[in-house]
Amino acid sequence: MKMFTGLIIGAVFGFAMHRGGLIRYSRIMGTLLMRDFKAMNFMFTGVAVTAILYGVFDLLNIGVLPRINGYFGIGHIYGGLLFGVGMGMSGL
Amino acid sequence: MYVYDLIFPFVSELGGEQRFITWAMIVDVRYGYAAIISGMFFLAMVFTLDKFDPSKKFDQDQSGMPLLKREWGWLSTGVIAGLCIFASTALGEYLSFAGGFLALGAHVASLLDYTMQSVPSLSESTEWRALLVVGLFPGALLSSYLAGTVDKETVTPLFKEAISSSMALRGGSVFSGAVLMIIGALIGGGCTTGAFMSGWPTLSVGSFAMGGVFFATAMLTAHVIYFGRYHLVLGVKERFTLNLAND
Repeated sequence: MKMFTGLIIGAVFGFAMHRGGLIRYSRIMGTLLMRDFKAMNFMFTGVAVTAILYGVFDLLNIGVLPRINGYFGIGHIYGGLLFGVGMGMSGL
Repeated sequence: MYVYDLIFPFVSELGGEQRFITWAMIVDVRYGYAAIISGMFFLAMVFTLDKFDPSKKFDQDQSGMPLLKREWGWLSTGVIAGLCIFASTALGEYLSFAGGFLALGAHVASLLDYTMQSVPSLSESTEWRALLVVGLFPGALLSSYLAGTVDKETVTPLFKEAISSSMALRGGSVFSGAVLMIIGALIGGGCTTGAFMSGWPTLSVGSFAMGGVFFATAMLTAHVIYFGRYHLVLGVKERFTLNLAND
């Protein structure tokens, strides 16, 4: 049963991304070229809402603990360079 | 995903042993306070950025359109995205589409009796992540259908004006870009959702490093491609009244 919540959350996220115009080439390229801030504002709003919810739950000692991604130095550079070039050339 | 799986033994050694650290640990502040301060800072930043958004005046006026027909704002859709990320964590999972594609690839491979090196065992968690990716498509399709924008794919006007009207070139740039993105995300520890939208709220130093590197690289790449043609971004938006249907 739990695995179907993944399907639902994925569908809601896909709906929100399309509806917010995040699938639009001009939005992504506009953000990367600093001429259209909507995609950036969408992403940072998502980050902010999640961070505040995590913080409140932590202070209330309610056990919703996020997984922490590991830090592995040079791997972020290699991965980030590949990802960034792909993002910049495709506008995805 | 399968290319990544082939090079997995090599790339998994990059950078040595992983350290699971947050900036709250570095400055010795309780996570909850640091997370709320970060969230408030980012909210203040986006409201400020919105005031100076140069593209807003060229947005199509959709005020008279029904809710399900028009493009929604960054605040409402950003809040929905944040709630999705939080709900995933509350379920004991992690919202990341690069990881989701990898899990989906592993499940598809298992149908052919092949075990991926990077996903040696399948579990309820890999099923959850695979279905997360599967769910994206009907969700976006439903939104497009309700907005009445389901149509034959054409080259978006900005790409056409700035680069080429060739569908093959546009398709090639999307495909090759996506290949680089998925391999880069799996090597570097996440994608736009995994490392940035889901990773930054955890205050993970690794996610900040990955997000910082890929955003800086993507901005540099975009500036190289659009060098001398930056004016087209707003010019095309104004001339074509870009919206969900034609962009």
